[in-house]
Amino acid sequence: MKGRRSEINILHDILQLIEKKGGVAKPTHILYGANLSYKRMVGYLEFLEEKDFIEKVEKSGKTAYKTTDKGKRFLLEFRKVEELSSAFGIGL
Amino acid sequence: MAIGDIIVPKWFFGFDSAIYIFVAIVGFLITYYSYKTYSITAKKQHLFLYWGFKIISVGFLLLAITRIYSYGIVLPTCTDVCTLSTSGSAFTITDFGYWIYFAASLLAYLMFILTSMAEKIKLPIMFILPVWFAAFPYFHITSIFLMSFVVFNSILNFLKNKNAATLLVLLAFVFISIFHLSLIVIPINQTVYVFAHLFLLLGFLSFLFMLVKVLKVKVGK
Repeated sequence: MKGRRSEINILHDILQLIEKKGGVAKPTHILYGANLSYKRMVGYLEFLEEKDFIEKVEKSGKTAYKTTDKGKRFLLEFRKVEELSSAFGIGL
Repeated sequence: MAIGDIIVPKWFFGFDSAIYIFVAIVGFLITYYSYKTYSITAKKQHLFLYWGFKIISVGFLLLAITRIYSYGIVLPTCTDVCTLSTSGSAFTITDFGYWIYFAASLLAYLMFILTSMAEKIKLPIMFILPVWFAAFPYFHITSIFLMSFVVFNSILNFLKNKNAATLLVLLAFVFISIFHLSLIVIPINQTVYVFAHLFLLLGFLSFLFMLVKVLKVKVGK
């Protein structure tokens, strides 16, 4: 249960980080911002890409990641989840 | 099981059922969003929240339906004050509605307690069940006892977060507790029955406002 919780939080953190970078972020920014090892970051990015939450784009000739509409919708849903949980004293 | 006579002002007949239906609708709305939340987090506490609201909503809905049926029998026989007799030896539709509602409410309150406790204490539910089952005839007293835990946890949560949503949840649980507290004294004064139901309505209005507030949040806010 704890593993899944942290996983969902990491996925949310990555998406939020990309959004804070204006919707497009390079892997190095994600790596440091989300405080992950390179291997783990790649795994999460692959997962998010597979689920259509992010997509690969070119930024200054390098690979970057952009949040999709589905990813933005997930961020909003997660915010609601956080609010509802907090209202009833449930920590995420 | 004998529940006792419920004395209701005649003019209020029907309003209580309408309140129960409103309570059930709000309850089902929170049930839906709790399940949605559980599907994202897979946290046990969200599952308890889901079951708590689902059970209490079903209880109130059944109470509303059986109440409407009971009105048809009782209403032509009363003047200013009507008595819903549930103390007879036969198990009536009214008894059935109350029995389900009592069991559902107590079980739901237990779920609400577990919602706030699940992460801290691994308390097996079977250790609590016999306590409420033994106290079953004293429904409102047992409810107040259980709700005191829920209110206490809501106070702690409000003091920790200090936002509108936590305040609304706290108010909702306080109003529901006042509803039960008021109903203990119905045999003394039937007007209290009306006030008690207004508190129940206020309680679930608070839940509704909380839900509206939660659903209106924006990303990054």
